[in-house]
Amino acid sequence: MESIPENLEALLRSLASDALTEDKNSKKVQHSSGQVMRLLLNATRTEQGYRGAEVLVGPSRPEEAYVAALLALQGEEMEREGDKRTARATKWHKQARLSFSSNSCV
Amino acid sequence: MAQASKAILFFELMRLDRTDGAARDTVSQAMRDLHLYKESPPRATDFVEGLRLTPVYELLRYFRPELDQMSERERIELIERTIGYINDYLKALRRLTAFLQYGKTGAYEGLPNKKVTQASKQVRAAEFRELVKTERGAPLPYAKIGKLLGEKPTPGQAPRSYEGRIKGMVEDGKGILKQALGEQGYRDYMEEKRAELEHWQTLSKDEQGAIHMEENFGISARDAYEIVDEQDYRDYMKAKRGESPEKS
Repeated sequence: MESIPENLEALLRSLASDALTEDKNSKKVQHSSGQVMRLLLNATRTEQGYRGAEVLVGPSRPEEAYVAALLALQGEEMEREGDKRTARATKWHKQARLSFSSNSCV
Repeated sequence: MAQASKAILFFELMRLDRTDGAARDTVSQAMRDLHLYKESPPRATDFVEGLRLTPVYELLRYFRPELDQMSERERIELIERTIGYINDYLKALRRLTAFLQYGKTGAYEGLPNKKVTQASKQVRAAEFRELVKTERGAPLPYAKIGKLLGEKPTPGQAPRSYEGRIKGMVEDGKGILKQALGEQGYRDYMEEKRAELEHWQTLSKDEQGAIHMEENFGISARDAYEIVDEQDYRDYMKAKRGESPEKS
């Protein structure tokens, strides 16, 4: 595997720490379904005049950036047993369809 | 979600630094040839949607320095195709990151089928109920909160049932805030917001407008008078970041 240059290692470290940091205006909340929400305090000024909170559902941009960078630098495609079974089933399915259609033409 | 064809049209016009009829015709003709052009009424957000393509353009130009020399049609087709790949990539990246965060092994795809969509409204409902008062100083009625949130009663829904629904939203919103801040944190938060609201009401319309301008555009009202064109704005933002202004 290609080695990662030092400045890219530093990028990964900084993305990882950004993704994990929770500042005083951002809180993580877990919904009963398990989904992670981020509560942003003082996010938008309402018509009434106070700065209200906002809820964002799903991972944050720094978290996504960390995942994307880590995989781009170190990720490798691998063969899974489940994928093999699916590929085999698709092949049989195709063959069966072909033989069925050729029989029906006779 | 921004409409790709509209974003491309406005991005191309901005890239050409022209908004006249001739430039618009050239770009829209190229888009028509590619079956991407759809006539739609102009909206105030059109230019903002165009700006969303900046990273797509930057990426393409990084790998293809000749991008600006290509024909209109070729460039638009490349941008459009890139948007398709980016959409697939972002969807996969979000699903993977979400799975890493809270996915389960048994369920279909390992992610909940129903996405949380109401949480933002529930939090706003809780804030309305706790902070905004009627003229008589009573908490805002549930029906009024529902109206402010744009929540309509279901066809034939009785007022009591509608109010019950909004009350449920208020309670859920309080639950989210309390989970994040704790009981004491929640009380402190509401206290702080009440003070903020009271202070806001003491400000004049001009003062409120100046705060809106600073918060939404990052420009103080006094500076806004000195910015007359795009170059001024770029120089202003550079000065704010501590860089030296561009020489024109």
